Amino acid sequence: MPIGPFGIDPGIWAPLRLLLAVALTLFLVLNGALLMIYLERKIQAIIQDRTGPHHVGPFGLLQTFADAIKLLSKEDVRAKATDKAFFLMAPMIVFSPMVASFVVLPFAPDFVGADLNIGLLYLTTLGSMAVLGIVIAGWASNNKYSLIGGLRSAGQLISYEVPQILSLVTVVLVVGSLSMVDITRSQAGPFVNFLVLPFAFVGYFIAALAETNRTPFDLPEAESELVAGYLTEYSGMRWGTFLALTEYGEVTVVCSIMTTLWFGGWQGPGVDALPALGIVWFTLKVYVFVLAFMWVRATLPRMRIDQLMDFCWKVLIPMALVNILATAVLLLAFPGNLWPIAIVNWALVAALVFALPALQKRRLRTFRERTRLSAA
Amino acid sequence: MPDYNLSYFYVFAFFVAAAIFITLLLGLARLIAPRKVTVEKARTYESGEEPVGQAWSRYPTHFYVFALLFVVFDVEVIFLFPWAVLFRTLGWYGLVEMVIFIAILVVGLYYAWRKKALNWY
Amino acid sequence: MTFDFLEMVLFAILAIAIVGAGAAVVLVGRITSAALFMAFTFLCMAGMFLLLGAETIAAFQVLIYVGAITVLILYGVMFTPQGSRDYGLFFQKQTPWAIVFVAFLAVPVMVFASSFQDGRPLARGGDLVPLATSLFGDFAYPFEVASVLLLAALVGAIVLVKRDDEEIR
Repeated sequence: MPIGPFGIDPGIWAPLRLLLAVALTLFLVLNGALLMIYLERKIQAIIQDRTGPHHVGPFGLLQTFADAIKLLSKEDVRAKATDKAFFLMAPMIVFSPMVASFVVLPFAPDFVGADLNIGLLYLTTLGSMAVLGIVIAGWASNNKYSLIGGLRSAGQLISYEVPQILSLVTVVLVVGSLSMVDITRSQAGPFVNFLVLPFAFVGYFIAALAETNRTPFDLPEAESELVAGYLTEYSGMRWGTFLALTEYGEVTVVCSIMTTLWFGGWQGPGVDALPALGIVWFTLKVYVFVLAFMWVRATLPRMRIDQLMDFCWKVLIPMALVNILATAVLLLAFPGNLWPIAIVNWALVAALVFALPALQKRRLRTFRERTRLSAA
Repeated sequence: MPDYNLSYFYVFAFFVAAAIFITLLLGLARLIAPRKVTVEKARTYESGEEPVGQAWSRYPTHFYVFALLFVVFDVEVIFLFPWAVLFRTLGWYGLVEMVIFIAILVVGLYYAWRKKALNWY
Repeated sequence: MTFDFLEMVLFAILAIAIVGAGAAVVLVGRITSAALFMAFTFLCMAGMFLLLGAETIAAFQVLIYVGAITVLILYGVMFTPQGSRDYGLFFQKQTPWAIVFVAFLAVPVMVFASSFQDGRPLARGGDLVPLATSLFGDFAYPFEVASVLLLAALVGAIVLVKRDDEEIR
């Protein structure tokens, strides 16, 4: 075993590194949530032409601290009919996989918690564990609203996992490895994977919006729908864990996956000289996507549950499968040449953006004519 | 090659740390927050109305269809992962195998679509 | 503390957890608790795979069993009445016959299990590549048959659900 960094004895460095990794992750999750809640409110405010939080602290920066203290001091109201053990277990089942995702995220060269061989597979596995927590939360509350909300939310989450994984597999086809560090290193210079696989990126972006329960897929959180779905009976910090910590943590994880797979992760000018600069580039790219998420939230209306399921199973999954097959065929037919794949992918993006709305418009027109004819 | 045992110990440690963190956080909330249990507060929430009946009466079965569709496609995806990693080694033979596999499952998806099993209600 | 000793300890813990959780699935009063103990059993089995060095299979186990099948079972189970089942499993009429049968089976099973020899130890953690090569090479035909099996399950479930819906109407 080589001498650890800073000349520390490796026997001490190994557990110290673990402790630092855990502390850093929890710090990141907690402060990330605080920062993102503030950003969300400010950005929504700016887009909606109002001010947003500005009383507490300069520019309202301390607003989320105040909110966190408020949540901690709220009474943990628990209905008598709730199933105690499962009710208490659910936030932990949803929170733990999200924290464990941070083990494989590559922030900078040699700055990974543990570079697992199956890094990408590990991340999807953790994503699927969170669904269980939501089903349990909805059921344990013994509340009709919670149960329906929980089942709907779980249905949405499991449906959108499929196009999410299909998009990831497309990248693995091109890169040839599941390790996150390998995927980052395979994107040399400015030729990032986004230029080659934009449709996979778009598919993953949409699926990630659905997986993290963000608008336009935030039916489970909508105030006007089913009260608050599976969160109805949770109050105070339990609710805070579910909504603030887990959701924003999951948004961070998902945006990190997007930067690693499609935009080169930590790479950027100057990283070869100063590896720590990788953290800066990584964080910047992640926050670009986080801001994109918030922008989408402030702009788009909410989709109905049947619209969102239709979109997943009838549009995203077939197109993602076509993408995988086309990429595979082209990779074998033209080994080493990535241009045909890029062309096919951009064509699919164009199809999604232009052809699909045109198709829907034509269907709507024929439907309207048919109803008019049958009514006449 | 990074050390296998150490990597998975990290995974385990992160899970344990998350559980401890949540317990501490909720413990802190328990210390700070008031606890006054009243009959009203212990009632299940139903938008101000009195809750009627048990939460689990008969429910539509379409949830189950989507869950099963998800199981089928999840297994498909599981086969896709090793195929994608070893893609170039497996060559055209592997591609044909995978195409047959996906085609059979797409037939299932098409069947579900035509039988209106994909409609939410 | 060498890893061999730790491995034995972990194996013992996981084995007790698997058997205990499995027993809990059968014995526990409420059916949703049984489903969750089943999920816990799956998690412990994934831990066993990890201990053997098969990280890909462990990930598959969690992804399919805990992520998909447990949700499926919970969906099915949540529609059933939730009354407590009584502990009718012990001291029934069949218990003596069951003991005899298990004792009868235990002898050949023990003989068979003690005939296992240590195979060639594989490198820990490198199981994705051998899995893929053997799956798409030697086991290509069972792989295709698996897809037909999945298709049959899918079609069967759709037929049952549709018939159920029409009966309601």
